[in-house]
Amino acid sequence: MRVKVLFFGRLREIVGCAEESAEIAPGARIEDLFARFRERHPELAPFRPSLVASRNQEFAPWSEPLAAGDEIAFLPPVSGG
Amino acid sequence: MATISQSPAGSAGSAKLSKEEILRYSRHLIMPEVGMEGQLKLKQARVLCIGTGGLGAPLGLYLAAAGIGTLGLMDFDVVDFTNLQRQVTFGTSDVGRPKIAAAAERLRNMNPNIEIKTFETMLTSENALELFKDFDVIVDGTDNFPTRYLVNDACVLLGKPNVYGSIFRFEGQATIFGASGGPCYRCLYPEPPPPGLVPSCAEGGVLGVLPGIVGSIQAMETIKLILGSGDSLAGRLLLFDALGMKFRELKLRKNPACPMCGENRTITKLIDYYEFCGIRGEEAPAPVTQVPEMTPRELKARLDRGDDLFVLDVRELHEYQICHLNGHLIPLGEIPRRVQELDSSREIVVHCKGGKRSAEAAEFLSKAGFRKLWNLKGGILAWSDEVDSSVPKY
Repeated sequence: MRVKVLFFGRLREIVGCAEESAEIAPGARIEDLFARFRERHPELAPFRPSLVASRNQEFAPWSEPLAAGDEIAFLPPVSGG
Repeated sequence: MATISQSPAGSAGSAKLSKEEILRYSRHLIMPEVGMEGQLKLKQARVLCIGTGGLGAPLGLYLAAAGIGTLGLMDFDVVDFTNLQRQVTFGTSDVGRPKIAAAAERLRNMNPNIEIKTFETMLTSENALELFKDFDVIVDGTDNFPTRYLVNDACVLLGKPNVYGSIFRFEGQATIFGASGGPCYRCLYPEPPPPGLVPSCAEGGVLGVLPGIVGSIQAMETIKLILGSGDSLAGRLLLFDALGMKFRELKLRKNPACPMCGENRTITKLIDYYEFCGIRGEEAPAPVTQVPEMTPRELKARLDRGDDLFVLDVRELHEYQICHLNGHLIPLGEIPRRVQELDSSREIVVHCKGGKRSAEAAEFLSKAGFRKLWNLKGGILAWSDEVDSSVPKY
């Protein structure tokens, strides 16, 4: 099944785009989706503990299962002012 | 809808607007959503802005202009040239002045009807509760993680709303934490990022208009909170992408296991936030390298002597275009695949802007077998300070 993935902040620069479509096995969780990108971009790994994930514009736990057509966003904290 | 408890100093009935104030706030007064009642609420409100920088500039300007009766400003910094591109409260003649003095002067001139309270101090775990208690709304315009956690925790402990805004390069976030039992900053971000992972404005850059937009959103939310009008951002994180020119929002939930505002809270007083964020002092720790350092003066002397030195610049192309030392440019991230451009039989002096990236590059090259390596101490900034002041600093 396909899901839409949005990246913010530094993640955008690491992954090289703000938005991507990903094919993932049914039953996969947000954590699995992130792991997929982490394999491709190991620099993502240190962000994981401080990262926020959302599913369909709602803050979501990492264990949340995905459904076809979901929009998942990964959001690192930013501190500039 | 989020609301605040008003200052106990007086009810809306006892305050009055002068004739001058009525004229000044006329465009507010003729809207039923504000009206005389709302304008008096603004006059009686006490708002504390932490930071008078990029976010603090529009915050201070619009809150003062709107007639917030008591406006607290807190900062301990001095205006410098790199601030002027976005911190629009300050003018060129303010460079070198304490921000608090320059901001207070500007805002007093803008609206002499309000009381401006200045706090030229760093916010700490020791002074936060005492400082916050006399204000109804706290607005977070700070620029670092330890202070953001401190502002959050102090607001939760005192039950005050925290109007939050934060920026990175072309992106901004804003919400209201801690309003009417809503989520707090720790519900969203329980863990601070490891030091050095998320660049500050000084390290990563920021487009000047961005804090203007995000700070204006914070000012708008502060005013709505005081008026009790409209739908507040409490419970929603607004995400602004300036390059894509998109506003998105994310519904937030209170985390029942939040150590600060959850059912079984484990944090009951303010802690050491630098320790919590894994940092001592402001700078992230420099990467450890065994490569020896060369000072700019030593480099100059050896170049003048005609020594065979290869200067390697590991900054980015857009930085090289600002200023350079005629070095060979290989950005840090490209060194692993372009290492064959370097001759290990020659002495190599690696430099960057301030010495951090060059230390990383030197460490990589040392592990790759290069032996005649130097790291230029303090980078091109130190070169400008110590050797050639015609090299611009950025």
